[in-house]
This record gives sequence, C-alpha cells and structure tokens, in this order.
Amino acid sequence: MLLRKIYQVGYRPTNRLFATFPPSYIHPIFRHADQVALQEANDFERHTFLPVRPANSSQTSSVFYDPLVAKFTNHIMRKGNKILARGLLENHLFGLVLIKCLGIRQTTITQNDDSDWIASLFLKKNWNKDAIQSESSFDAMVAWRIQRHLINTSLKKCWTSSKKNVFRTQTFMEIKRVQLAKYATNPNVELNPYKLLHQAVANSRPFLQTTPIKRGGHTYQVPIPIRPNASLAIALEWLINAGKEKDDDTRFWKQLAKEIIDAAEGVGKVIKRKQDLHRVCEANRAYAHYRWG
Amino acid sequence: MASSKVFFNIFLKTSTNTGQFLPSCGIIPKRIHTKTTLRAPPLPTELAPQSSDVDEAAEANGEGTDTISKAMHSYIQRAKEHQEFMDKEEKEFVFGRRHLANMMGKDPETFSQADINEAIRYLFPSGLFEPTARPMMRPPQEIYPKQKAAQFDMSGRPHHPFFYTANPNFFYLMHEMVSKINKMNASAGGLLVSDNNTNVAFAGSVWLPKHELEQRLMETLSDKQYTEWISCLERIAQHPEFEKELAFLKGYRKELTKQTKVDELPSVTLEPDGRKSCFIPVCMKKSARGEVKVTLPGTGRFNINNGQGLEYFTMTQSREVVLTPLQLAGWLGKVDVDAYVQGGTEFAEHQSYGGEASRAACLRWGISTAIAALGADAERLRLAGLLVRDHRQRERQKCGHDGARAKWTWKKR
Repeated sequence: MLLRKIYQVGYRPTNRLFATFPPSYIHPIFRHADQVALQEANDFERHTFLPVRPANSSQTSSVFYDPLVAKFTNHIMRKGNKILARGLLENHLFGLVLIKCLGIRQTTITQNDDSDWIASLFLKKNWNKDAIQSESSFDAMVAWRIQRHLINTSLKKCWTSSKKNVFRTQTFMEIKRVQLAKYATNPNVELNPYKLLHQAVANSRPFLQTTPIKRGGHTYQVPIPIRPNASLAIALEWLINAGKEKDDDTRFWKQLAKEIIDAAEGVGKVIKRKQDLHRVCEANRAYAHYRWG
Repeated sequence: MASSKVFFNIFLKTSTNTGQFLPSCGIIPKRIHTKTTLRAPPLPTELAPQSSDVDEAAEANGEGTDTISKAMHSYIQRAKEHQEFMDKEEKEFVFGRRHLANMMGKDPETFSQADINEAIRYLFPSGLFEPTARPMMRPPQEIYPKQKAAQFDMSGRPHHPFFYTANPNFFYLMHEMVSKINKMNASAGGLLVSDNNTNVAFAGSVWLPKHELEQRLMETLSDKQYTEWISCLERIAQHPEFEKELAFLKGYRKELTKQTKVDELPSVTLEPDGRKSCFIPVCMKKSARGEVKVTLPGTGRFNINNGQGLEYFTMTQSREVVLTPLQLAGWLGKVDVDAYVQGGTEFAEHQSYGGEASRAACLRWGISTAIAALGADAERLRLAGLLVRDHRQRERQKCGHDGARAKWTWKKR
C-alpha cells in the first residue's frame, strides 16, 4: 500500500457548555444478544430513526465482555492508566486462559504427572520442584509460571514492568487461588471470580443515603432514596477503598480479592459500611419528611 | 429598506400576544392580530375588513365613517398596511428572483428555491456559524411569521366561538378531539379496551412537537396544555375504532428520517482476481490516522502496517475492538483486511502503549464502513455505534487552570 499523506491534526473546538452528543442520541447497542432481543421485542423498527452515539473502546461485542467488570475497571483506573487497571483486575483473554488452566485441576490440588506435563508445555527452563511442592496449590504455581512465560515471550521491546500489566489479571487470579484452597474442604464453594464479583457488588449496594438538610439552625442527616447508578458507584468505590486499606507489605489486588470474597459471603468491611449507613438512615427516619420542607 | 422599517414598527407593535379578551363594546387594545387564521371554525366568518369595504359597508348601512371608533380605525389601518407590505414584499421577491436568474445565466421561469439558495451562497459567501444569520432570500411568507385574521367584526363581535378562551384554535381542536372520542365510544358499543397495535400505524413518526403545533395554530401554548393535547391524541390512537380517525391522527404526526444513510456508503471496486474490495482512504480517531482495505471473499487474514497481523495490537482490548464489526456482522473469517495505521498520542512514561486504543478505534471505523459497503447489515453496525465517526478530541488547557477543567484551589479569602 502506498504511503499517503497523513492528515494533520487540527484543533477541533469542543463544546464546553453542553455535551458532545445531544440527549436524542441513544447509547449504542453493541452486544449481539441485545440486538436480537430488540428484534424479538419488535422494537428494531423504531431504532432505525434514532441517531446513535459512537461506541467506546471498551464497548466490544467480545464474548468475554462483562459490563460490571468494565465499570469496575474504570473505577479502579487512575490518571487514564487503563492498562494497569485491567492488569490489576482482569485481562480477560489471558486471564480466562489462566483461570481455565487452574480449573483443569479443580478436583485435586496435589502434584501429579499431569501437572508436570502442563508445566513442561510452557516452561523451557528447569524449575525448582522442591519450591513448587512447598506451595499449597501446585496449580497456582503453574498458572503463575504460565503467565510469566507469556509475558516474557510476547513482549518485543523493553522489559519494563508496566508492559507486563498487559498480561496480568491479578485480582481474579487471587480470588480463584483462595477459593481453590477452600475447595478441598467444601466442594460447593463458588470458584468463578466473575460470579463472586457480581454477588459482592449486589450485597454491598446501599438502598438509602443521608443528605444534610438545614432546619431551624440545625443540620440534620435526612435519609433519602438512592438512585441505581449512584448506588452502584458507591458500592464499587467502597470495594476499592477497602482494598486500599492494607498493610504496606500486602498488594492492592490481594486485599481487593479478599474484600470481594468477603462481600460475596456477606461479611467484611464493605458490608459493615453499608449496614452502618442503613443504621444511620433508620435512626434518622423521624426526619424523613424534612426532604419536602 | 424604508418599507422594512415601517413594517418593523408595525411588527413590533403587532407582536405575538394572543391572550387578549375583547369585550363586545368595541374597546380594542393596541396589540391586535392581522392576517388570516389557519383553521376556520364552522360558524360564518367575515373577511378582514379592508378600508374600501368598510366605507362601502358603512355607506350601505347609511352610517358615516365617524361612527367607527378611533381604535377600530387604527386597527383597520394596521391590517391594511400589513397587507400592502406583504404584497410589496411578494412583488419584490418575484422581481428579485428573475433578476438573480438573469445574473446567474439561468432560465428565470424555472429558477427554483434551491437555485436561489445556491446563487446567494455564491454571491454572498458567509463564514457565520449560525445558519439563520447568513444571507438568505426566501418568499416573504416563509420569513415573516403568520398572523391571525381579524378576530371580530365591525361591531366588535368575535368570529370564533371560542374567542373568549385564551387560545381559541387550541381549545377548538381539543373540543373536536373530545367529540371524536365520544362518537367512537358510541359506535364501539361499550368495547373500550384497546387491542390494536399503534406501533405499526405510527412507526417512524412522532407526535407534532410543541413549537410546530404552536406555529400551526398561531398560538402560544404552555407545556401543560401540550401534554394534555398529546394524552388526548393518545387516547384516540389507542381506541379500538382509531382507524376511523387515522387521517386526522396522521395530520398531527411528524415523519422521522431513517438514520442509516445507505447512499453515503463508499463505493466497491472489483479486483483483478475477481474479488470485491472496498478502500477507505482516511480513517481518523483523535490523532490516529489510517487507511483500510477490506476484500471479499477472504480468509480472515489481517495485514497491519506491512506484515503484522492482529499481534500489532498488544492489548487484548484493541484486538477485540478491531474484531467487533466483523463479529456483529457475522463476517469473522470471511474477509481479508489490509490496513495501515499510525499516530495516536505521544508515548508517556507510564503509558508505553499510549495511543493504541485510538489506532484500534480508527481501524474499527474503517472496517465497519468497508463491510457495510460490501454488503454487511449496515443497520446492525450503526446501532452498535460503529458507523458514526467519533469526533471527540482532547479539550485544550485554559490559562488559570491546571487542565481543561481542573481548577486551582479556591480560597475564600
């Protein structure tokens, strides 16, 4: 293909006063299942007349897409470093491979010939068998080795640690590891990190919040209902903040994994925080009518 | 123009205040409407009184002009002046159109409004952003707002039976709609449960928006009145007998335009080996630039920047973004994609892959447009937001701010 003139980047004036797309522009329907559902509900015809906003980079029709995970990743992200955020939480293509690898040996967590074979597929160097045997879960070690191998072989350029985030999937791996450790004693334990995250968020969403309202010189904390989007955002923020409340020698993803598992079970810091908020609302229900003056 | 100044004075005086009650004693306030009503009630109406008619009528009745009150006289004067002004504007427009056609070297007889617009754009190029601020030449009826006719006769008696409501046209319309409902109820014979699917009849259209209804009725409405009107229309539309009033309902429906512009898709070329291909020369997203060539039928091969496949994108998200249009259309593995892409944001310390997301989205748009041109379901791609170009750019930093929006710490004192 011929090299063509690269079109210069012009400064395009942005509209500071109102949104780029007017409210008549609907959000894109980018999942195949959602489009099929639209057709079945006989609503497709109406949508041909509605202008659509462009899809984001995170809005893909991939089979690995989960809207809650996408939203959680955005909440974890700082200063636009999406790669780090995804590495911390879940990098689904690679993560799924690794999680599936862990799932192969769901029934046994002791070393055997099959595990050696899987490890040998991915590892070129000899590994320290004694070190591996000392790990509580051999599969966790194998998975970690696979991940490291993928990182090291897929990278073309320099070997900075930031590039390795592309292949990391820390929190979900840790969740899987922890749950696998419990699997020996309790075969009914939930091993799927995605399901656990959904359950955790569902359990930690508050239904009421307080707002300060001034009456007669005093400021009262009046309980008011909470909007669904706000409730979700608060739940995710609480999970992240709980993950940040950690010792210096623990990593954020380790703490976050612990918090997600606890919240899914209905215990832990996040659940306590939600219950405290609900308790305050219940205590102040006498002032609920202040909402309307 | 002098006439326009005169007109403006009249126009400013005869502004859009409709809510004036006029007692039958004939005292008329200054703000009066002229011109013809749009919807005539069934009762007998009288034409806007012209000065000559007034004189004739007065003479016929044996009355002198001194029996007309001064207010009434000035009202007639204003109406006459407005009519004269509009006639003059119409003549000037027709004359001007012929002149313009001669200037442009076209046939004056077949000089349409589109030709006029083109000629004005050529002769008076304008860099103004607002379309209504640019020079225009249109028939006077389109420029000057419609006004109501004389709402009462010589004795001050109003023509419209609903005149003493604030908005006679609007309330008469509501009155008509309620009579329709009563008639339909009577003919339905007690069957008031609706099982009709109005979606079929009214697909692709919406109820007339508020400003358009106001224009039609030549009256200002409140939001509450408008919502009441809509609910009354819905009541008719969901009645089992709604088909009898379908023509009436359709008169108040505004047709929407289909958003998928199939005729704007790029053209398809035939390759020497018999395959069809579509080439998109300019794909843009933020500062990423690329070009895409999709060939049908293919094997799902990707060729990005001369030799690299999808591994060019190190992030899994980028790869999924590029594959999304193919997956939604069901064309994975059916086309070959040759692409060239570069650009994106500068490499920052912690963003070693900075700009990759833009490059991926840039290719995504190119691939979506190309496969839509080659025959994929354009409507599905459009609904997924893949066919519209994302024109969002990074907002510039302003002085006194840290960034585009982030402000410095506010100190009370």
